Amino acid sequence: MAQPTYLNLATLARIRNLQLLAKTVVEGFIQGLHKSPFHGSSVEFSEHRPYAAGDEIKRIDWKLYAKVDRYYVKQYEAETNLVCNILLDASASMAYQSDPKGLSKLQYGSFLAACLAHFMIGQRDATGLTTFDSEIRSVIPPKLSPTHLRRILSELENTKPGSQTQVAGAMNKLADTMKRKGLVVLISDLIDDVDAIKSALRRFRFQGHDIIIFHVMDNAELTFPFDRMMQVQDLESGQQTLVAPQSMRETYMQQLKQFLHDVEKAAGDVKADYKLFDTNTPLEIALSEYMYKRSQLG
Amino acid sequence: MISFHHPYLLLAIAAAVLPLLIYFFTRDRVLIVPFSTLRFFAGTSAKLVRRKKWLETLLLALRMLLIVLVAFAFARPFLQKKAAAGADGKTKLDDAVVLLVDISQSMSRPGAWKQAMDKAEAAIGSATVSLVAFDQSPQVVSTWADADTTRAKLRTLEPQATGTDLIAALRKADELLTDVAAENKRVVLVSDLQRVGLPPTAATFKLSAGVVLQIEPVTADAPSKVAIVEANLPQNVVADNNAQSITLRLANFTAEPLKDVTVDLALANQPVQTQTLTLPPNQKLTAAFRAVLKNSGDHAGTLTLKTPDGTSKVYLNPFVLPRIGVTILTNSEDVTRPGSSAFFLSKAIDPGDGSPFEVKVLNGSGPVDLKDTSVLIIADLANVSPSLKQQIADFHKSGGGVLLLPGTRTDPAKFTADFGSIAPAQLRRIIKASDTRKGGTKAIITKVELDHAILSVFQRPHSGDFSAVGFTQYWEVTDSQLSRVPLRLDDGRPFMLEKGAEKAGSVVLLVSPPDMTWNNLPQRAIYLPLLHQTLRYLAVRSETPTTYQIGEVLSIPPGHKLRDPAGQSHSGGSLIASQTGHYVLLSSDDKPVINYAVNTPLNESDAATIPVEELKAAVVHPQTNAASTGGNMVAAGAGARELWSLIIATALVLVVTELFVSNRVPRH
Repeated sequence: MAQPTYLNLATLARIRNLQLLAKTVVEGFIQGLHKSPFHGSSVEFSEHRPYAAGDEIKRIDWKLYAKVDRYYVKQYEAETNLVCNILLDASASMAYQSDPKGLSKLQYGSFLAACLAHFMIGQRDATGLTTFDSEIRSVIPPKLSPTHLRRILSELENTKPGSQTQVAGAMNKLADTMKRKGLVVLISDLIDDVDAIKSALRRFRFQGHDIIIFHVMDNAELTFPFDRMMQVQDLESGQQTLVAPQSMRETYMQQLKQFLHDVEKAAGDVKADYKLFDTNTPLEIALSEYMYKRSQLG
Repeated sequence: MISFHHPYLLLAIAAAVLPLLIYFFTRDRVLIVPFSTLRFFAGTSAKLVRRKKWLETLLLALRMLLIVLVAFAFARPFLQKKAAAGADGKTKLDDAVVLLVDISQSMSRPGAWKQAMDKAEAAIGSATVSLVAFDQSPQVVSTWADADTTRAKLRTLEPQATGTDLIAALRKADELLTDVAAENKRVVLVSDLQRVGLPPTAATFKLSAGVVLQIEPVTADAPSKVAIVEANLPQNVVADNNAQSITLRLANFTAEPLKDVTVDLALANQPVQTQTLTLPPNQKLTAAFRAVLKNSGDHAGTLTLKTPDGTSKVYLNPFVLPRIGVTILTNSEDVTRPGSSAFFLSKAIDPGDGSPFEVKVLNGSGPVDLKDTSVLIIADLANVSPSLKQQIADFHKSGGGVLLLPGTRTDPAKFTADFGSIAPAQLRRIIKASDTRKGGTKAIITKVELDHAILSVFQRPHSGDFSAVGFTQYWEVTDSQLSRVPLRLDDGRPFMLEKGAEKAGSVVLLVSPPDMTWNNLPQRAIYLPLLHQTLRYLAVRSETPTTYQIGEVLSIPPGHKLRDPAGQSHSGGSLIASQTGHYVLLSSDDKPVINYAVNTPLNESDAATIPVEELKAAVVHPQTNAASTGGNMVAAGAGARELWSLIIATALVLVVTELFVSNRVPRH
């Protein structure tokens, strides 16, 4: 089986140096580094793992010891203490890619989602993936097994840009299905009505979810480096307009600044963590910065 | 109506599509750039794009118009309109052209006239022209007519046996142009440009400022080799024993010396003298003849020039007049006294054998013989006997002229008693300049009535300096109201008074006689001509010219007839001389009275020409731009240049506008 292209070992090595500390204590079952108010174990067998020092003796599978003459401990589904849902925007606007040699916003978001999933599952956090545009396109419920990671990565590989973005609508539908409290990671360019997004985020927050927003923008969207007359085509609607960059730049930058300000303010209002990523920013740096910040929040 | 000097250059207007092509080939290719959203592009861009498109269209139009204008300018357009009357009554034209065509005799030389017609036709072009034919005087043939009419009039012209006066023609052209309101005024001169056509007055004439002179020189196919170009032909001479001088000026127009050129002089049908000459190349030679003319009356004759190429004749008629009898009456002691009035008078009136006067100086105390006297001069006569007084009165009544010269011996009361009835004024007293003037300065003549017949010869400039005469004393006169005063002194008192009477002679009074104790008149240059003219006037001597030129008027007195050289008789007051030869004035009984010799203007034979540039320098106003000497007058119109300049100026404005607009066009 071919190695998934999204997993970059160097990137993962950088991330492993940081410890993800959940901002709030969520319910769940997990052993290890995470603090948890819950005790006991899950009833749904997931897999065996080699016995390690510190494991309870009672959790050794004696039947398997009799067969292979080695100590294995049974692993159950409920052994996570964090349910993480990664929401990846796969709308047409995410296909924008100013540098042919670089990454599109969707590719960048997918990389980011893969890293997060790998990292979280490695931390024994149940991780799920949902892709959406104007509708919810695919839902992979949070699970902890390594095969689940491969399923997430496979889904990410197969995700193609879809139609128009309706972040708020899709999030509202997702909120209805996510019963357990956990972490919601939204990876999107957020090109939608900011008030509607804010309303949807508030709903997640009301349900007790912790929210992280990875706002992915192309470098060209942030700097508007164009200098020749061009016919700009909206990737979502297909609508075109003639643009004179020199005279338009000031207006564009003002409106962009206002948009970013509105988005950040909306995130602050719902106590969501907000991070703006530039597709030119090295992925590991972006993740490291966020993880560090997250850890500071404790 | 717009016409073009170089219409083929209008093809360059097609180049106006170049900016269009360049625009379509180099305009910004608008790339279609996919972008995540249009939400940040508020409507300003569309507005800007609309403005850019508008400016680009304007810029394109400016550039195309610029090329059209430049092509238009290089085609050199000009406006040509029909004549129209303006509000000020002046004819209004864009280009006013006067065509001067030389019809003098010299234009009849072989090939010259056809060449002149061709050049004149070409010069007319399609312009509105005033046609003036000129020889010695200009004749307006048509004014501001269209080209066809002018051509038709031009064909009616033919050379005349007359002279040339270029200045008179140019003056007329200038007058015609003055009467029109036109931006561009032009005179086209078609002539052989004879140098003799520039009279002495040429130096004072200039065309008006702005009038351009275009000269179309004409040359004869076979110019004459030799000709009589000038002649000094005596007309009225006084009979005496001295030989009269008749001179000719012959010109050799070739580069080779001409030998065996003979000139024969014949007078009264008798050969007088023959001269054989060798004429140096390109030079003139004077031939002088002398003939003694003793008999009164006509001496009709010819001067015949004989060359290997042919002969030519000059007609002449020296008319011999009898002398004017002048009697000077003075005191016995002054008859021979040097310095007296009688002395200076006799010397001035009869300087030699050639004098037209015959003078007698008599003691005026008693009766005198006035039989052959035409003018009586009474010079400071102290005593006049009653018989002499009566004799003088009778002489005056019979038409004799009297010159009164009162002097020191003259008593005013006796003067009044003796000559009061005929004198122009009465004497009052002698005024001495030393008594009435500071520093004893002399009185001078300051007012000269040049219209008077005595003084008309002094009308020409530098022909008499009356102020050079200084008077130390002179008579004050009274009762001069009925007299004419041709000359006055600087204090306003008369110096010369003249009084005429019906059916009687004229009387002239000089208040200061030609005496060195009275004035220095006898030592001044004007003395002789003034005295001679006065005597001629008093003698009522009218000298009839006997030599004329073609075109001049010959008078025919009532009861007389004039027989032309062809033998045909004419009557009726006058006749315009149209043939060369001798016209004979016949009395009522067909007896010859006088011959009139008629010639063509001799200087018309002078083939010397004026260079075009010299003529222009002489007559064109310094403020007028230099004119072209050839080419169609329409094509050379100054108006075309101005229109060209206007278009170029407009193009420059467009260039500036284009630069301004192009800087305003958003680049991106």
